[in-house]
Amino acid sequence: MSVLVNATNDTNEAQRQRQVKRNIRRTAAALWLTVIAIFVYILAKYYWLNA
Amino acid sequence: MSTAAHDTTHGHGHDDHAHDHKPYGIMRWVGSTNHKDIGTMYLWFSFTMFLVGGVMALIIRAELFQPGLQIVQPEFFNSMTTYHGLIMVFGAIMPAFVGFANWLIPMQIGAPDMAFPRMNNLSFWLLPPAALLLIAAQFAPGGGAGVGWTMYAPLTTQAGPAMDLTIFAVHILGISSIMGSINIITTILNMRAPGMTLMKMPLFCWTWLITAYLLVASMPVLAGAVTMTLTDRHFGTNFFNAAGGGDPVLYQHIFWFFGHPEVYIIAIPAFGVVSQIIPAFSRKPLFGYASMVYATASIAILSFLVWAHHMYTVGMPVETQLYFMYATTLIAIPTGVKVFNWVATMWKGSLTFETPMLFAIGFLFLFTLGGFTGLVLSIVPVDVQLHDTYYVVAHFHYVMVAGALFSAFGGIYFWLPKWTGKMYDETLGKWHFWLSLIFFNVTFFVQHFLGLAGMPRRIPDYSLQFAEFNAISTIGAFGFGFSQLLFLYIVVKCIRSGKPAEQRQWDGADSLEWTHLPSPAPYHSFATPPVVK
Repeated sequence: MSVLVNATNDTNEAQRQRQVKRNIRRTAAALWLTVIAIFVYILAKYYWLNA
Repeated sequence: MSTAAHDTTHGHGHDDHAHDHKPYGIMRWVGSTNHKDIGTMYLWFSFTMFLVGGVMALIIRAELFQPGLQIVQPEFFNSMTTYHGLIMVFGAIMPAFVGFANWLIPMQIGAPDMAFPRMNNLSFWLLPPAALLLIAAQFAPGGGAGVGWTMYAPLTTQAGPAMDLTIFAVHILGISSIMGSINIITTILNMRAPGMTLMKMPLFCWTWLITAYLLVASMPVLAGAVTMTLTDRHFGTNFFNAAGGGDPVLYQHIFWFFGHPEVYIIAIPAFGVVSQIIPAFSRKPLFGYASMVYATASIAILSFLVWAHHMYTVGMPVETQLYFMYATTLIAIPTGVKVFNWVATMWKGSLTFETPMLFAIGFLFLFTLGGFTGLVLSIVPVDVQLHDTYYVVAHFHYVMVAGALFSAFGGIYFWLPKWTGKMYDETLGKWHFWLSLIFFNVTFFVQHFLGLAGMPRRIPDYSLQFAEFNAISTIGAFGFGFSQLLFLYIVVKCIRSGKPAEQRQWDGADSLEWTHLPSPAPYHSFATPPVVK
């Protein structure tokens, strides 16, 4: 089922749901970027320290 | 806090129940995107791994029953200590609390499901292959890697092929945890029902929000550490190889920068579960809700600042030791706040002692004892004496078993009526608690004395002077292990033939899953969000 609440004909509600979807995508993107940044930082930092 | 659930609108739960379409057959589980099904799979998986890790623990304890080598070879013994730790931490305790998160977070915040249901499915189904890799490592040429769950270099850079399987397994488990935590954060931040502000959320959701941030920040660090180990082994790098200009101590720093937050990744959701149980059986709101949230966040932040207390003996400046000692003792303050609040919640409450409450109180006593021995170990001159002794083993088993595991047991008894719609056998539940409590202490309390007398950890043989306490500990371990079969029987009996449970089985429970959803919780809940005032 959809992760969001039931769609309605209410324009305001539809707009709110689009905003929630956007926020979900943004939150997840920010978290994935954080994870990748930390991983790359750890490897790069000690690779260059050793080089 | 959760009192907000008292005065909400209602009606959606029963509507959902009427249209409760459930897929059938094996594909219900393989392809499931339903948070409740995935939560159930997490919980059964973690219990299976708990039994696997438990068998390994019993092999360790059987060998240690008497001095001398009786049952297994030292290499196999080392392998058992390694995989017992890895399987219990990554395969049993962590997935158990992710199971709780999956089941409860959407219901407690009034959301229909997790934000990313397909990713949720993937994060669960990564676990079985990782577990199989850890088990398969036992059959690799040369046997399992006897490097300890901490996987210290340079032992890991020299270990056999089993190490590669282990590294791969840790990578997969890490990816699974990261996906799970991104899902949890995204769900909590974006999908709360109208009116469910952050400070109205049940404390369990708060503890998972904070834990998920800990995972996002610390798991990539572990991934980095094991990736460096992998490249040292196969690709000619020298991150941890002193002969090539690297530093084995660097591994310890990186590992424990992950490893100490990991302790709280396990402990903080346990705090959340206990914070739901104690108010319910005290018939009072949680004392000091806001201070609980701030204390949990403080513990999380401090957990990143204390990692080197695990490695005082590697040789570090006295000033550094002092810093880590003071920073570590500081954690006692927010932890003390939490313990105080749990006790104050019970104070003058209408207490009853059903099985979940017994486990919560057992947690409170024994986790506090484990925390206290942690304080003892934070003192540098003491730790230099006790480092790598059984005192440390006793300490962290009080935190991990009597802390996290007791909390998980309490949580399962607490929510089993909501999950299954049936009531467990209360008498047998109490038997399970008392047997677990007694045998746990028989196993681990004596290990404090062994450690104080100087018995080192991770050895299959020992001096005669340690014989009596080791024999007692082994008897306790087998008693504890077999007591868990009773738990399995209780759960199966509840599912098959338990008496019907009420919607609000515990009259003091006031979060949305109790006030708004029938028992068992419908397959799809809160398709229309409740309004929380």
